[in-house]
Amino acid sequence: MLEVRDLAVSFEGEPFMHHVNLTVPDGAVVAILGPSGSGKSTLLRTIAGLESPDAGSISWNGELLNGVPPHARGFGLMFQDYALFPHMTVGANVAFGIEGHPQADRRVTEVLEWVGLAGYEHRSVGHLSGGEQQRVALARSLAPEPRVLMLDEPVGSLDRALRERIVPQLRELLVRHQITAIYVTHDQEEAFTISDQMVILRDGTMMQTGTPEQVWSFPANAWVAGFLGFSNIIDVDVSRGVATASWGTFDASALADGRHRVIVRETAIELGGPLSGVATERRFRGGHYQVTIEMRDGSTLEAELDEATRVGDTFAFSIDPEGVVGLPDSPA
Amino acid sequence: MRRPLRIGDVFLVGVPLLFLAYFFAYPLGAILLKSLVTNGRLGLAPFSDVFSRGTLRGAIWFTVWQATASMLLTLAVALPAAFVFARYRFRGKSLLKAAITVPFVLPTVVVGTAFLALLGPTGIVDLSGTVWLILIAHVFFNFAVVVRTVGGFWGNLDPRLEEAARMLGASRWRAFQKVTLPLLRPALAAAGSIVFLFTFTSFGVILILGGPRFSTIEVEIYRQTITYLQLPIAAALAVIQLVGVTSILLTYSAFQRRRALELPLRPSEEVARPPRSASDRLLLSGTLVLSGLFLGTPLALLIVRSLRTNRGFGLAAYRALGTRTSALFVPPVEAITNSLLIAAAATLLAVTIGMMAAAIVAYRTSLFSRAFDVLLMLPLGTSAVTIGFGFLVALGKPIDLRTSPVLLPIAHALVAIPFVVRTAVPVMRSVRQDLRDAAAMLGATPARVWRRIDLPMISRAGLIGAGFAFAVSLGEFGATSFLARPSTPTLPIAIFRLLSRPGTFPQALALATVLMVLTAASMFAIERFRFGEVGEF
Repeated sequence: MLEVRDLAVSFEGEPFMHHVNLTVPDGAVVAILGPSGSGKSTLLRTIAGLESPDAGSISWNGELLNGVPPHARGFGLMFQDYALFPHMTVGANVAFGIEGHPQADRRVTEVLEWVGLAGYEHRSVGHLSGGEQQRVALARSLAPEPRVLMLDEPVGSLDRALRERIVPQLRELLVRHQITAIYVTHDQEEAFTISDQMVILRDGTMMQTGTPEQVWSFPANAWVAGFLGFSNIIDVDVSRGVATASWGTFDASALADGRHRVIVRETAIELGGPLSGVATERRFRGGHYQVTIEMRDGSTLEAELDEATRVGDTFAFSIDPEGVVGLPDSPA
Repeated sequence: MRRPLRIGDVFLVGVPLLFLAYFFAYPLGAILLKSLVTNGRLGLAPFSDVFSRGTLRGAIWFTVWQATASMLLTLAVALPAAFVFARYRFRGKSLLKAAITVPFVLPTVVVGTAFLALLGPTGIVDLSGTVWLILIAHVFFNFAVVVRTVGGFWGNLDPRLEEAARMLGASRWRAFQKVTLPLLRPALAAAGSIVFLFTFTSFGVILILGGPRFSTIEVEIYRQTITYLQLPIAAALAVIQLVGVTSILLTYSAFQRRRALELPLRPSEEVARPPRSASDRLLLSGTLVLSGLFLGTPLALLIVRSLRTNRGFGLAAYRALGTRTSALFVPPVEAITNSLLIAAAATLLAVTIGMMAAAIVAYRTSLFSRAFDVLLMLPLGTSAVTIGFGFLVALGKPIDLRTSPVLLPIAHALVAIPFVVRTAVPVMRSVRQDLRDAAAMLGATPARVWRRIDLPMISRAGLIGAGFAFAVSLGEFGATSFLARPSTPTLPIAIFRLLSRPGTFPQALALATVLMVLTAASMFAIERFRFGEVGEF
């Protein structure tokens, strides 16, 4: 089990990351999710030993790792641009971490098979496609059987279609071989697909930890909700199960009385009902329409609707109370 | 803008071509003829003369081994600094980078004088009469070549490759040895070849620091000509030297071609980082301090000793420059005016011809313009001594130019033209077509586009080239030592004469300081015109 306690890191002399706590149980995949500049890569490099923390501890099964050089930590790191050694073949790249082991050749063959590149040993890395390079990098970091495999935006340089295919395969591979992994990404869908646990990072501070389901169902604050792609973040007054927003009232039976900041899920808006607004924008998303509704006070709601609504139409709708989630950071 | 050759280009091609034909190809041909024809008969007599004499065989052997030793020593000494400049970001870095380049552009005579002051008979440690004096001066000279070539390459090498090796269990040393070093090899080979070439043709340093014991091919060409008047033997030596230089250049270009490996390069601003750990800081400050001491001490001592008098410090040595001594026919101070006038004329000539040639290379695409490019570089690979010797042998006919005052500006321009071309071509090519298109779309006529977009950038390149040409001419010693007339010595000649007579060492120190300041001034003027990293010097 990898444990990070109260970690603080400076970047180019400026304090940057503070009070970061992280636990990675054996065999689990933990995703670190955050926008660019949030400190995800710095956190990963600090765990790897490539950066030194100002304070806090990094330990493996109780053994303190602070001060242990990167090559002695037994961790693997797969780099975003793969960092394949251009002067070596695929086989030599993969064998680099296990050179001298009696079983090295067999292990190279094995991990290349895992990633679907059996027989690629003698190819030059310069002649591989982006996807193949990605898999060689993965095989190379898997070969020495690292105690923790860290992946820094491992599919960030691939195109979208390839990404969507590879991430579930990667998840399957990690689970099948019970590999303990930390997966850094800025893409929420990737994080949801790959991880057992996720950590959301913003400006070097942890915003939320939890399973993907927990994070999706109960974002810790408006920033997380916004980052996860929720558009309708609204301040309301709740009294006896009825929420009053600036543009009307709706049922919110799950919320206690008082002032709240809530998410209204885009799927919770249904055609027909007591509320009304004007459709100002409509985008076809294949399977559904994304509609922007302008309310009478000028504020807007985003809705996911099955039926077409013409731009300019005034229409009636209701909000499903199941799709209203209160955020812990209530407005003043 | 890149077009095939047209009729109007004949002028642009013709002038540089005629210049090179008459002042480069013709003298070289004359040397070859002199080495092969003895008393009207074709034969290899001068060559067998060279190889039958122990001193000349010794000079050839010494040339090769001192160049090898200098190269290996320079690589070893400069590698830490190359690393530091590639991988760390620190305050004053660009200034320091310019500062370490100063020794490289200093005239050999200045460096020779400085090392005599530091490690000569009256120096802090007396190394005179040992080969170390020569080797150390060569390392001093070529330090910047390694830092710039290897460091520049290293600074673009993705540090994640090394980190990847570390994450796969490699120690710092193993990661360096297995990943970084193999990737640096082309840059090391390129830097090594350049240092080898420079030290192979080293002249001033060896003449001044080597004493009678150490002699290279270059020095022997000079001695055989000036002292013994053995022109056929000097010619044979020059041909042997040319063969050596050509093979070095071919090796170098073979290494350049082998560089084809696709490397994950990153902008150097992303690679360099501030030092983080205590060991980082120790490595950085240690390397900078030691390199600074190595490069700074000889120059500082030169200035300090030029100011030393019998009673403390003063300008006595400088005042003495106005008085004639047995070393020269004229007061040494006249050398300053001579050098400045010659440098001005050489600069004008080099920039005019160099810019014409650069325009052809940059703007025209054809097999011819590429061949022309190579042709223009040849004087750079030819030793200055060979050029001076060639002038002496060839330029008596059809017009006797050997006593003409234009001779030195022409010789210096020949050495400087490659610098002008190499500075101008990348700048000319870097004027992006989209800038011209944008100007045209804003309504500019082709003439206005050229005047407002191309010309301002090109003229800056011309000024940089002029600065180089001026500095090259000020410090030129190899060719000048054959051609300067006793009544009009240049600065390097005057310094050399003052060094070779007893009792005039203080004046030599003072005049070397003057030359150093003048050279440094023209180099700093260049830095003001430079923009970005365009240009190859």
